[in-house]
Amino acid sequence: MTDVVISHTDRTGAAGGTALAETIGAGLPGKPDAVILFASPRNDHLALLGALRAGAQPGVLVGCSSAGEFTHDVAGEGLTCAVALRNPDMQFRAAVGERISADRERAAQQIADGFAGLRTHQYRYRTALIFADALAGYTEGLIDALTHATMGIYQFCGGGAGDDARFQETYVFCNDQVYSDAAVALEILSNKPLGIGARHAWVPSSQPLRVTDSDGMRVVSLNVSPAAEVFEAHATATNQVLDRADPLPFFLHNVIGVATPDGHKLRVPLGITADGGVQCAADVPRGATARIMATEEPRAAAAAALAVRDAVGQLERAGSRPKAALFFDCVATRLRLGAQFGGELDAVARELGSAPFAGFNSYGQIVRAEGQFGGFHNCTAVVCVIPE
Amino acid sequence: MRAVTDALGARDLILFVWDRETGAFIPPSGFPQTLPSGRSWQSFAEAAAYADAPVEGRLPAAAGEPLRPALGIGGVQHSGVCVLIGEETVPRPAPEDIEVMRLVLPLLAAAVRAEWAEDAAAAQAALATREASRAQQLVARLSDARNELETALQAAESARLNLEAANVQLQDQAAELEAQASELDAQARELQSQSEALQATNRALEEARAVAEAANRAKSEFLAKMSHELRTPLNAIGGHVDLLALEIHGPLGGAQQDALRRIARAQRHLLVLINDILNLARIEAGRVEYRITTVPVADALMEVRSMIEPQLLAKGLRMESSVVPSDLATRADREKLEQVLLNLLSNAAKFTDQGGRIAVTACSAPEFHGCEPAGDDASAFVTIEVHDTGCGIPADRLDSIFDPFVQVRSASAGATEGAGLGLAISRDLTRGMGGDLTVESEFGVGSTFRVQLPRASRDSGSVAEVR
Repeated sequence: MTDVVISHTDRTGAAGGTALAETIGAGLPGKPDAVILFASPRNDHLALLGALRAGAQPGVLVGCSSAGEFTHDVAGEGLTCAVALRNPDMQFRAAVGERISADRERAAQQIADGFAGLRTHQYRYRTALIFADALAGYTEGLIDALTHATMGIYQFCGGGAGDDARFQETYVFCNDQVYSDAAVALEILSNKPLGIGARHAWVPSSQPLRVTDSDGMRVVSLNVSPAAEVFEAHATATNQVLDRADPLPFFLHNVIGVATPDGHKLRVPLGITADGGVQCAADVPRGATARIMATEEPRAAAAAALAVRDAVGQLERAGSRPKAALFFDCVATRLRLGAQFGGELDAVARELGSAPFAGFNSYGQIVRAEGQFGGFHNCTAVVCVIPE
Repeated sequence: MRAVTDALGARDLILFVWDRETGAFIPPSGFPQTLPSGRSWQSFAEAAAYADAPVEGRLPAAAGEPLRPALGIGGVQHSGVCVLIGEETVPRPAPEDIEVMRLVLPLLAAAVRAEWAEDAAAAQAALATREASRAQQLVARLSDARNELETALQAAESARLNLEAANVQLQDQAAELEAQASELDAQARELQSQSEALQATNRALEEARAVAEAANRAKSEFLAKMSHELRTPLNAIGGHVDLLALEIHGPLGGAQQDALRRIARAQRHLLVLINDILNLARIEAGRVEYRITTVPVADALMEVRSMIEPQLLAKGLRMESSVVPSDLATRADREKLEQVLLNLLSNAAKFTDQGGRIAVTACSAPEFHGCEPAGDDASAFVTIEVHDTGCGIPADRLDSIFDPFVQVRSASAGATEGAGLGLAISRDLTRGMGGDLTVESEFGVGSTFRVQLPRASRDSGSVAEVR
């Protein structure tokens, strides 16, 4: 039986950690096995973690900085949200992989070495929540390496840490430590499945484009043209405005979709470089076929609802019901929708019924689960439903 | 490619190959992958690809530079375009050279596509190699997992066998317990049966005892009545014999007197027998009343001695008596004590040959039948012993000597007088007074009869107690 407390505070630093710990202590019958934390960058993270750990005394504590935080009853910037879990039938462990930018496989192996599920057959289901410093790049490669290091027997979900769309510094947390250029994982071993769903609401709005030149997360050219020119031409063709001095409003409605056999992986353009390239929030491989993607506001809520429905269905097929959920969506989605982002959260709440949820706006979403199109995405709604 | 460019008199030369997936014209590797105003290049390349003759135009060769003159030559089959860029002008190649280029461009495009395919294949191969390496790692891990699984299965099989063995053992123990339970049930039933049989036997014994007691009481009452009925006429016979012996009815001849003496002796003997029977009957019927008083032993012995002396003198026996302390007294019915002592002395005289010796001793005794007294008084009993040097009693008769109607014959006594009731009556009377009568004897040497009775304490006084 899962006991869960979802709490939030607009206080920062040690005061925020103490406030969260008090709520958790009042709501749980004992110390939490795990606490998952999404903290605004407007925080002294070390003080926050120290106070929360001292007050709540969780078995493990993981989390990351964020670019917008929400629960089932509040959403905004500058908040800190915590999900405290307690279940004697589950096992929780935390692991950190460092120096992602230098060696993804080594970082993935560090995480895998911290997992107990590779050495025990006691539990039927293996899930890991992954939070990565997305600004370090190579998150896609990290997820691939982690999949191999864990022999494909884990399902993953999570997101890239954020900093309120400043794209300067992002951090992940493990217990009382704060890391950059790293990823943290919360291993959850259980005998009931955790449901994972991922959907996006974007459709192609351009002809296919060859990525003729790219460098990691920077797209240099498409069909030989500097990438910015391609977006400008697309803006003209679709009666939109692309202001090179302030391209983000356009990019929030026009993202890159990298073609894969399972569909388009979304990459959010964040800015235009001096050479006319476009900086994205995730890797875009050279030689890939891409399209410019577009969406409409109501589709985002529908996609999020479908993602939740998929995840809840996985629980129901195993005879279980949702107790709580973690929800991750792109910072771009929140920025694009503005106040209407609340409509997407409402759709999530309707699908979950009485189960509470919490989450954050991330720099990329992580999902790798059976039946889901996997890897590292942008602008995709990802949900992890925790069973009763 | 530089040599070709120079031979053609151009500043730069860029090849474009039609990309079937995107519909764009893409330069092969080795040519610039990013060109300013790319859409212009695409439009120019597309126009050149489908034109029958070279196409002229002006294009941006590099960012920030002015437009340069360009000449686009499309190959047959529209799959490749060669764009020549000049400084101020682009020298037009000779028609035969253009024709050669139009023919060669499809071949170049095919080669580029082959290169792209090769690159893709190389990438796929690299990916496959990496996947193969990881697959090998997975195989190794799976092998380890399989070994672990086999070990676990072996452990599980061992555990299963142990459980089966334990189960068999438990079943055996259960069967054994069941058998023991059945056996206990049978024993319980048997005990119940035995208990019921015992209860039935007890009831039968109780009934038999009641019948026996009733019969014994009837016998005693019969004997008492009959003895009384016999003694009355026998006393009458004695009285008339005495009158005849006094010759009140006339003088008697010698023969008559002799016959009369025989009648008198027979009458006395018969009277003794009847009295004994009457006494025994009374005792067994529980009708004897004991008047317990303090009896000085010396007085009782003196009284009995006076009664037995004629018998001793008649047989020429001497009797020795130890000095009995004057304060030695017993709690007893004096008449019955004297009757017991008289019986013992009479038996001693009867079974001791002429010249034999009879001795009487009396003392206090700490023990009663060899048992310690219950109180602190070390002399709680009085012991009176009658010793004789008579024929003694065979060992095999000692146990029955106190039974009624049992007699011991001796050479001197011959056919003994009496009914064999004297010792039985004496022991019953002694026990009735709280004591006992025992005997020690050696056949041919003599006997010692021992009377033990409660000793009278100093504070007993002369209070009589009726039992």
